[in-house]
Amino acid sequence: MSKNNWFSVAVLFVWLYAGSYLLTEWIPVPLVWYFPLEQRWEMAIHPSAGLKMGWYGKVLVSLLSASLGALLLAAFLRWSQRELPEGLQGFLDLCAMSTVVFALLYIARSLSYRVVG
Amino acid sequence: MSTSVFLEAWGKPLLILHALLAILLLGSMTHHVLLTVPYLWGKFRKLRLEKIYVHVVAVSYSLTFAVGALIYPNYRYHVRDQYFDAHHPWASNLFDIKEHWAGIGLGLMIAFWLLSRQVQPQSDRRLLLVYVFLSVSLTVIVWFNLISGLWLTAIKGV
Repeated sequence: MSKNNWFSVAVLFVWLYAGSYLLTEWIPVPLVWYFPLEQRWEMAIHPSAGLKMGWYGKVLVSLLSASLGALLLAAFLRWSQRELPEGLQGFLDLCAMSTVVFALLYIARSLSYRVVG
Repeated sequence: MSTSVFLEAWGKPLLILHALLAILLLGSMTHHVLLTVPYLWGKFRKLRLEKIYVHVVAVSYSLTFAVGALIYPNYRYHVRDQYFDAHHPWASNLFDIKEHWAGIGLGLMIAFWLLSRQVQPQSDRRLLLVYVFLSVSLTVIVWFNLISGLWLTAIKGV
């Protein structure tokens, strides 16, 4: 795979990772939940009641979706033996960088105003 | 009756290890960003050293992340649930920002490490902006996380 395509795959990974992390904040997706008092795991969209942690699941979902997307793009680029057009490469770079900034700021802002109950 | 959570007895030593690894990460990341930002205006110095910093960052980020993930259940119950939520809800929120930023940073770090293996700063102009962006973003995350982590631990540690 050419160097440019290698870059595109890595940039897509960044975009999908940050994007899917953000989506797990907005959309109910099946996550792996950990219950620290019971020391057990549960995979669910709506987990059982009790003290639970969804962070491990969010990281896992983001890793899996970004890896899958990056592998698919890598396979496509290898199969087509082409490079992404320059305009598309630039668009991908811009999307990845803006999504990362947005995700970080969105999380900071929404959690700053959260009422813990 | 006391409630047991995962690795509860190892909470303090693991927290100290987590902090030491984070300090190593902060140092290597800061040195890295000081070398890469000048790439944007064509100053290419110590290229080999910059690559070494990336390897140190990759190892220290992974270890800091892993140790943090191990002590997280202990924090979640004994610190957040039993203390922060009732007395310092802002601290619970600050920790959650830190935790999510670290989670996002993991993805950035993986891509950053992969890119560093290919990028030649003097010739790969297209990638330079993304590469420097990742370096700056990771540095901001690491500085924020270390300062907020120390602050929270000063209020109540595991």
